[in-house]
Amino acid sequence: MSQNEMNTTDLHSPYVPTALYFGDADTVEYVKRDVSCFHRRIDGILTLAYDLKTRELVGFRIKGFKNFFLNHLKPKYRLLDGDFIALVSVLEQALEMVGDTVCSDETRVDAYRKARRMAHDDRVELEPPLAA
Amino acid sequence: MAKVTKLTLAERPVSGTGEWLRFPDAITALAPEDRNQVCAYKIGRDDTLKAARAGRRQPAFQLWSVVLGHPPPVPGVEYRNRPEPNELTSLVEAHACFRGIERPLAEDDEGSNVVAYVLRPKVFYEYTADMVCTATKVTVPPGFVFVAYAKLVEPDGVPRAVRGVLTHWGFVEADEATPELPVNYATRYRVRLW
Repeated sequence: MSQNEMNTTDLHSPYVPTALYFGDADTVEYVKRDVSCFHRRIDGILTLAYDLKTRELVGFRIKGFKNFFLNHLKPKYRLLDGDFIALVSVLEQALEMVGDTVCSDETRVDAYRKARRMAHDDRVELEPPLAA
Repeated sequence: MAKVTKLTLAERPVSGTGEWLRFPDAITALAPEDRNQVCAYKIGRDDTLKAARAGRRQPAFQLWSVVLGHPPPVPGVEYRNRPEPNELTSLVEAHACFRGIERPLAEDDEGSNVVAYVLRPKVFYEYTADMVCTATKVTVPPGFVFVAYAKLVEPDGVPRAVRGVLTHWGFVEADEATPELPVNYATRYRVRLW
């Protein structure tokens, strides 16, 4: 770990809610607060994150993001290097992709709605995660 | 079943600023194809460091306390929490293992080369914004299990000492009928290995 990393990872700086792309897990994750979470799998794309103590919805994960970004988001939105992506758009594109299979399942529809609402209300954006 | 081992004293980190992000290079687990054998996984540290840089400490604290079996090495952790021997789990104590996560992971379209280790911790450490000590030991609420995922590097090749990379981990709801396993385990994973 470099000195720079050590300096930026102290234990007392506040958490600023941010959408992050995790390359090893190939997910984009957003949580409102840095609390202990449990994750509820909705389908192969979406997982919701709940506070382990209060069971309040605190975030979501979009899984398999690399493939999704390269094949669906980057061409459609004509993203340039440095452009930020609104997660609302990501969720809408994901919903469009899974389409009819979601619409027949009210639980899944509701989960996508909740994630989209959070992304909208919190104005969640993601820095382009992939150089490709 | 293979002998259960945790971090040796020499491997255990020294508490102090920054030490909580110095993870071991690898961790021991039971082999996915045979729980009587052990193997090792590299720890994918980049994601955890990225989260930490954004001020998210819970993933690192869960890695330490549920996967590595050690309280997060932060100042004051022992004074505040009075850790007891063997109260934490580590990856090698997983009681179930599945393969295939039924979703893409990078170039793996169906996550078929991903294994999921299931643990059932009683306590773990979470981050708390506290001037004295930022790690607090808490009891896992009933109805949850912990799953750690590893991506196999050469899934169809000759088994190696290091089988892959530990990529992510976290709590999930337990199955009502089989509470030692994740909810919907029959559909969320492709196959149960043991």
